[in-house]
Amino acid sequence: MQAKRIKVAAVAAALGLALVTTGAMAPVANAASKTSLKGVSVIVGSKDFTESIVLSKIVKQFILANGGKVTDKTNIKGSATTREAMVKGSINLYWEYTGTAWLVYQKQTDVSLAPTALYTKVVAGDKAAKVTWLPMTSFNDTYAFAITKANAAKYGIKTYSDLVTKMPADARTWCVESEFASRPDGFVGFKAKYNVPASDVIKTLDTGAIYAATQNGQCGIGEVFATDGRIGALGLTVPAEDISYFPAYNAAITTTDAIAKKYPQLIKALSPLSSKISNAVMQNLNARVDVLGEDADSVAKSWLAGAGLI
Amino acid sequence: MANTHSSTPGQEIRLEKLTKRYPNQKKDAVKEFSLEIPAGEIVVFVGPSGCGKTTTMKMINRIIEPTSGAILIGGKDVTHTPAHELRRNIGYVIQQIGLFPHLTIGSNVATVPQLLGWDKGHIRERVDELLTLVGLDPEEYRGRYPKQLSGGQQQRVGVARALAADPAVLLMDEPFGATDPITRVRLQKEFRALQRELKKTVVFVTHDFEEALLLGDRIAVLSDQSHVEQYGTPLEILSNPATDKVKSFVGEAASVRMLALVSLSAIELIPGTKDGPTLSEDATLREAMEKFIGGEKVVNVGTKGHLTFESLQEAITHARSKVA
Amino acid sequence: MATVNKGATKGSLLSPSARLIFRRNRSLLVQPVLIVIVLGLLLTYIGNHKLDKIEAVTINWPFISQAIKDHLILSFASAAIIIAIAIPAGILLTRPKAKKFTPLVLLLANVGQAFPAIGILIISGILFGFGKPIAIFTFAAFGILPILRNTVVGLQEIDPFVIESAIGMGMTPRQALWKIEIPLAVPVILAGVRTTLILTVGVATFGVFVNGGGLGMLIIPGLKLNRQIVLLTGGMLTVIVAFTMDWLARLAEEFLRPRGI
Repeated sequence: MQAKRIKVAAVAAALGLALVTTGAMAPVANAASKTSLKGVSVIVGSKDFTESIVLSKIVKQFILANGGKVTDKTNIKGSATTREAMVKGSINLYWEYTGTAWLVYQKQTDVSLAPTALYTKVVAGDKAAKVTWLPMTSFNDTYAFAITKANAAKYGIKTYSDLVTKMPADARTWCVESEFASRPDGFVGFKAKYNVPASDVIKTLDTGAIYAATQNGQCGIGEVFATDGRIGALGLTVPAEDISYFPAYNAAITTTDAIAKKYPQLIKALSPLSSKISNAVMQNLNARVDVLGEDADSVAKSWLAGAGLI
Repeated sequence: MANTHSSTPGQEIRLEKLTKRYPNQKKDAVKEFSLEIPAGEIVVFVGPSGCGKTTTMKMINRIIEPTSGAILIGGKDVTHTPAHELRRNIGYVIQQIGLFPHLTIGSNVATVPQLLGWDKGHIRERVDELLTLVGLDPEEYRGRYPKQLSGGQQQRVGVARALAADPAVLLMDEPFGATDPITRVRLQKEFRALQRELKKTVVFVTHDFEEALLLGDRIAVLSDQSHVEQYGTPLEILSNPATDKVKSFVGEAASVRMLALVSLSAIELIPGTKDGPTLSEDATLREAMEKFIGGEKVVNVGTKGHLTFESLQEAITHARSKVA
Repeated sequence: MATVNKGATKGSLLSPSARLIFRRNRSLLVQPVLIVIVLGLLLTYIGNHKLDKIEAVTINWPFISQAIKDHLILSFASAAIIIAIAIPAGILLTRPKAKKFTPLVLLLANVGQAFPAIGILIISGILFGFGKPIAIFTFAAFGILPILRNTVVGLQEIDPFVIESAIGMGMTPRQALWKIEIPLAVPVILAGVRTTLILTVGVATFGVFVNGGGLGMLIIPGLKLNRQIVLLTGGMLTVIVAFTMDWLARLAEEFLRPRGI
C-alpha cells in the first residue's frame, strides 16, 4: 500500500508538471472574447468512455465560458447509439474518431490510409449523411499493445516485432477484447502482419480488465488504447509499431449540417481546439479522471484555463 | 360387509397422570390425565373445543411428547420406547385424513406393512383384504389416486391404512368430521360393525356427543385441561350425569335418547302376540316408542311377546333404576 | 371433494405415455416447432446476406459452434453447481432446527442477485484468474436464489397433515423427508430449476468479458461494430438456446412430476 501511494503521488507530480509545461507553451487566448458565443444553445453528447467524456466536457466548459448555453448529455452507451442520437437530433454534437466512422458507419474496410488522407475521405463520405466534421486532433487514439515496463527491460522489447521474436512463448499470452478480436483489421490482421504463431494463447477479456490483468501478469501482452491514462499509471509501456498496421483514430468534433449552419460562430470558435490536444495531453487528462479520480468537468475547465483558452 | 379373518385383538391401555405443558403458557394443556381403557373397547373422549382431548390422544402415540406421566399398552411401559417403532403398531386416523397424494390408494394402504418389511405378496393380499373390508372394490380402487376419490371414500382408505399392519390399538381423531352428515352416519355405522368383528382397542376423539353415544363402549367426558368429568357407559352418562358440566354437555332430552341405547331383548314382555306391528328383538326401545307415538296400541316383539304403551313405560323405569 | 369416476378409469392417470403428456399440455408440442422455425428463419437470413470482412470473422460455423459449445458449458456447469448447493440447502433450511435461519439465508441470496454482474465478474477474474472456472462460479452465485427459494417454498407448501400422517404411521423424520416431502415438492423445485437454467443461459453471455467464451462473443462485437447480422445471430441463438433449455426442462417436469398431484 505504501508503495502504491508513492506511485500515485509520483504520477500526480508528473502530470502536474506536464500540465504546467503544456499550458506554458500554448499560444495565449485564441481571440475569443467572453461573450462571443452568446445566443448559442446546444446539446453536447459523448460516448461512454473517459476520453470521449473529457473531450466533450472541454467543449462544454469552453462554450459556457464564452456565454453560451449547454445541455449536458454526455456518457451515452455505444458509438453507434451516440451517432444515432446526433443524426436524430437528441444531441447536437460529439467527438468522433476517423477510424470508427470509416469502418463502422461508412462500412469501409481499407485500413492502409494515413491519418490525414483518412480524415479527408471520412469527411467526404459523411456529406451524404449531412454530418459536418471540424478539424481533427493530432493525437491518435489507436489500438496498441502494452507490456509491463519490467518485461520490456527484461526481454529488450522496443517494437511490436520484438514481441514475437524476443518474448518466450510461455510469456506470450495475448489478451484482447471481443470486438478487437473479431475484426479482420483488428487482431486477425495483426497476427498475419506480424507472424504471431498460431500456438500462442489468446484470452478474451473486457477492455477495462485487460489493463489490470496485464499489470498483474495474467496477460503477457494486453490490447489497449494508445491514449489511455492507465498505461502510464500501471507501469505499462507500448512498443513502437514498426510495421504500420493499425488505422488512424484521430478525434474530431462532429455535428449536423443544420447546426453548423445555425451557429457558424460556434464552428469558428471550436475549430482551433483539437490541434491543442496531443497524445501526451490526452493521456494526462485521461489519467486524472481514471487514476486520480478527478471529476471530468473540473479537469476540462482547469486544462482550458491552463492552456489560456478561456 | 366383512368376512371372518384373524385380527390382533385389542390390548388394554393405561394412562397414568399424563401431563402436557407448553413452554410459554401458564396453564397445562393437559393436567395429570389418568384413565384405564379396557382391551377391545371403543373409548370416546368427548368434550368442548380446547379441552385438550386431541392433545391427550396424541400423547398416546407420542406425536405430542408428554411432559410427564406414563403410557402402558398391554401392561408394557411405552413412554420411552423409540417413537417411530411405537407408532408402527398403533393405527392413526386424523380428521384431515392426510392420504399421500402422490401415491396410489394401494400404496397408501401398504405404507406401514412396507415400513415393517413385510414381503410383497403378503402386502398385496393384505391391501386387497382391507379395501374390501372398508367397502371399496380393490380392482377398481387400488390403482387410483386420492384426488380421484370423494371425501367419504378417502376416509375409508384412511381407516384401511390405519388397520393395514393389524395393530392392537387404533387412535382416531374426529375421523368422520370431514364428510357430509349422511355419509358420516353411514361411516359410523359401518365402523361400529367393523369393530364388533375386529375388537381393537380404539381411542376415539370427537366433540359430537351423538357420535360418542353411537360408537362408544365407554365415554370420557372431558373439560378444561382434559379433566375427566365422568367416565362410564353411554347409558350411565345419560341416566346419571355426574356433574353440571356433563349435564350441560349431554344437553336436552337425555331420557328420550336413552331409548335408543336399550334393545327390546333386554326388557320384560307381555307373553303372547296380538294384532299389531312386529319389531325384532334387536330393535331399540326408541323404535317401539315411535310406533306408539304413531298411534299403535300394541307392538309385538319377535314371536314370543308384545308391548303396550304402559308396559313400555314400566320397562323404561325399570331399566333406569338398574343403571342408577 | 373430487368426484369419483364410476367405472373405467381410463384417461387421467394411466402411465404417462408421451402422447398423453403432449395431449395434456399442447404447448409442449408447439414450442419445439417454434424453435425450429425461428432457427430456420435465422439461417435463411444469414444465407441471403453477403458477409463483409468484419462479419465473416464471427459468422462462420467454426466460430459459432465454438461459441454455442462454450455457452452450453457455462450454462450447464453453473446450473449444476447451483442445483448441487441450493437443493440440499433448501431442504436443510426447512428442517425444524434450521427454520430460524431461513429468512436470513433467503435475504443473502436475494442480495446476491442485486450485485452488478459484470463488476463482480471482472474483480473475481482479476483476483482468481480469468477463464471458464471463475465465470462458472460467479454465474452460479447469481443463480442460487430461484432454486433455493423454490425448494424452501415447495417444502413449506406441503399439507402439514400429510406429514403428520406419515410421522403418525411410524416413519422416521428422514423417511418422511425422502418418501413424502421431497416427492411432493418436486414440481415446485423443478420449476425453480427451469428458471435457473434460463437465467444462466442469459448470464453466460457475460463470459466474453472474462475469457469464458459463449454467445457474447457475437453479441458484443455486433453491438460495438454496428453489424446487425452479427448482433442478431448472437442474440437469436441465445434466445434459441434458452427456449430449448426451457422446453427440455418442462419435459423433465412432466415426466418427473409424481402422478396423482
